[in-house]
Amino acid sequence: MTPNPQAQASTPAATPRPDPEDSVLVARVLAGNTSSFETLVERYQQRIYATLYNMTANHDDAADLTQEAFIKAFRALSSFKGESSFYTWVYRIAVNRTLNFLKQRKNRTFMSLNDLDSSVEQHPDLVALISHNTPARDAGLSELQQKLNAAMLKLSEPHRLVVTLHEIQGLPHEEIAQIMECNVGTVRSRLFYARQQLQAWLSDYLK
Amino acid sequence: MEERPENADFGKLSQLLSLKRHEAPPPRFFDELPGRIMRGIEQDRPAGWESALDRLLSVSWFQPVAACAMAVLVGGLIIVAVTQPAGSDPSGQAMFPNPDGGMASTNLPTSNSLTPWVPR
Repeated sequence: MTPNPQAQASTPAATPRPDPEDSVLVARVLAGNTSSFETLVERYQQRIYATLYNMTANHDDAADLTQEAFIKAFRALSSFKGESSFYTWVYRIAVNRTLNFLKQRKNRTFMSLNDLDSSVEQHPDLVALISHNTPARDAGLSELQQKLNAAMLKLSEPHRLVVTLHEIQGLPHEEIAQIMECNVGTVRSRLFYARQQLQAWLSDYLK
Repeated sequence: MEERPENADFGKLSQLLSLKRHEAPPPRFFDELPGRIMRGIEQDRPAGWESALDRLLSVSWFQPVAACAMAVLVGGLIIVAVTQPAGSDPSGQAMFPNPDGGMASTNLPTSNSLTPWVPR
């Protein structure tokens, strides 16, 4: 989104200036202003970390992979041509690194789950889910969290990635296709299959 | 996010998956992560000449020019090596070391110029 210079001119002086666009920050980094990269990190760290955390179900692994992904992105920044958004480009670096990591980690998967934040108790969907007379109600949220993560880890990496990006991160199919370097039809079919699998594995908690 | 017909049967699953949006890393994690990343970048930073080379290599026209220059250099070295056999001087007479450490040319024909000198 390009800022409108006229709108900026008429903005009162007290209004904070809009943050610079990614492309501006990238150009500054390439010109030698390393601190601009920190702004990009601050902008995208939560989304990147959340994706990698949901892929690994392990906080330490996700933290290390997020750090590695940003460092790799910094080193490769001169090769960034701007054909996709910076955000998609960094996502792709992070996801590819994580998929390689998961291949190596294949036989030593263990979960190190983050705590649920306090707002979870007020989430209407979750309140509705555990207020029914199902095993979900007896289980409590932390057990539900364990079961859900275990089911996610049973999915293949591409299926888990699609569920993470769409269902948890809320990205549209088109953007997921760009990140995964496949077509939108593949994203849709993977998402459908992954949901079916999860539904079967978690059926006791979805009645 | 628009609701598609294909999503309709997965409503409860989507509700359950929304639980994952509430998994939060330890407090202050996101305050500290950018600093860790920037320190990692500083440690990982190549030496001055390496970053200069990186910048040079990122210039689009530089790589083909560098490749051509390297090819010319290697070709030139090969030509020199082929046309100037080892142990010969430009006059075509073989050069052999004297016992006193100097070099002396022989009057042998050029065809014998590779005959090794054997000390008595």
